[in-house]
Amino acid sequence: MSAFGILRREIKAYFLNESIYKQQLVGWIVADTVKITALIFVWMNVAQTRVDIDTSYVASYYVLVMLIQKITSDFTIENGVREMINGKFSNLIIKPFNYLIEYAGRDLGNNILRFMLFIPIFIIGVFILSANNLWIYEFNFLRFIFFVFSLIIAFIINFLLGNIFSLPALRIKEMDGIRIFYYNTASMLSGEFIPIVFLPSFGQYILKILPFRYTLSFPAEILLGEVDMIGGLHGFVIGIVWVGILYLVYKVTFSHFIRYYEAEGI
Amino acid sequence: MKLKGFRNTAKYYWRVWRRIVNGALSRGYIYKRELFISLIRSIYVVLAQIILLNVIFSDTQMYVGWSKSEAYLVIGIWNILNYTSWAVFGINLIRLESSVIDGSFDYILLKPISSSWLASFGDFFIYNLSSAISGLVLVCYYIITNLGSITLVNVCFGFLSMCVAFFIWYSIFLIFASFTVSSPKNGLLAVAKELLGITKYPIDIFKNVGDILFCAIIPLAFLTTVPAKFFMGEISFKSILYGLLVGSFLYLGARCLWRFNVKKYNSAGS
Repeated sequence: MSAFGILRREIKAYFLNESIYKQQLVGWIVADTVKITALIFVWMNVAQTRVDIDTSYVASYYVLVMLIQKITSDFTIENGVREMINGKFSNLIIKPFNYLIEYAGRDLGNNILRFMLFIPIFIIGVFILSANNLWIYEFNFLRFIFFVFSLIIAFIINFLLGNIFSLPALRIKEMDGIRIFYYNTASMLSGEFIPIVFLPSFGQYILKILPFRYTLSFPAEILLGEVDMIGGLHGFVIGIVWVGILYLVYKVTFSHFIRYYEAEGI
Repeated sequence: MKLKGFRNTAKYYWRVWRRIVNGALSRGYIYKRELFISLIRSIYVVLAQIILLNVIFSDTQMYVGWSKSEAYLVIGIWNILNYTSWAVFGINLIRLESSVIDGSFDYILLKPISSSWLASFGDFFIYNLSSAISGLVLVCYYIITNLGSITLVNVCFGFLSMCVAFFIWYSIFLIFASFTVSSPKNGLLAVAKELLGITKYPIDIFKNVGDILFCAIIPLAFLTTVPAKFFMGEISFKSILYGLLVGSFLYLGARCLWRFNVKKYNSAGS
């Protein structure tokens, strides 16, 4: 069977598996909504003090960020780490295909389900924003196509970052520090915690070079028309270059840490 | 029947907890690398929060009625409460889910000690406590920058109201965690985490909605906004009593919910 065929089966299997815990997924979606609602209030208050940023942009940006998160999330740093620590990871590396296919299938199955469960909340969010003249998105086919491509890049970067930061679990048993450090860094630099438009130009430049922007903020910026054609092209080039770099980093990190793996617990 | 030597007193619980902490400290000695990472994370957390507040205050002196140093104070209080809660009970209650699923929660129920207490305080995580230092740094920053206007009474009341806030924090967490016993994998703890997470901002950001929602319905205002106002000397002692009353009410509710959910517990995995 081809790698794509295996991936398709993994997606289906994990979609059905996660469907058992719909209640938990709904809980997570509610939790995300609480967090993003707070951020909307925080940054709308800031936008009121700034002449260059509109409050409606902030509100629309965060509703889209919530949607993007549901599609591009990676769960390796939660589930994968647990398997590396308790030894179940051994079952994955003896399979006749790369374990990353299984992890990618798990992520995609989970994301599809979360996306489906999120749709009603998204519609309610858009309805509330529209009623308050805060929804500024206008459909544009070309922008939508670019948005879809940026989502694919966002998922791949997220997936590679999550896998790179999970690999120390092959050697270190207490991973909470690294895991939380990764989450803090990602939310800080991806545009979730601070939307990129609020940063000074130097801060924006740094974020545009780092990979985290391309996991969350960039797709939302494309959809809201915040980036022009040249900016979008630059963004895609940087994102694709990061995919290559992160893949190489993953290969080197994996070959380093796998030497320390003791299959403890099996 | 209670075992010989078992005392249902604060002293007994304190002795048990001290042993738990000693065990955790020994484990911290083994995982020195993790402790080091945690300390780096503390520095990183402070840096990230400084950047956040600098961005918020880049074009203004006041943000929803709060100055920059007051905003540092609110975030500092939140850091102390949040990371201490993770160290003391948060991770234990998060891990309750796996112990319910694999059936090891039976052992908690069988021990001659309150099950809610043991499920909450059965382990101690020194790594998270080290991150609480970041909060202490921010609170100290506020005290030092306002040394001329701040009084010792304000500081004492501030720390006292933080203790009350910690009690409320625990009660809210326990309410949400109690449902894990009867129905694991319900996602409620994630909701609790994010609800408590929004208290890192002053409640005033939500304007009138916040006043009604977070003072009367979900008493989140007592967690960081009220202690911060004590430090600033803008609130009367009565608020501590209100906080204590709210905390006691929530704690009693949490205990009732815990008992209710324990009755519905199915020992499926054991």
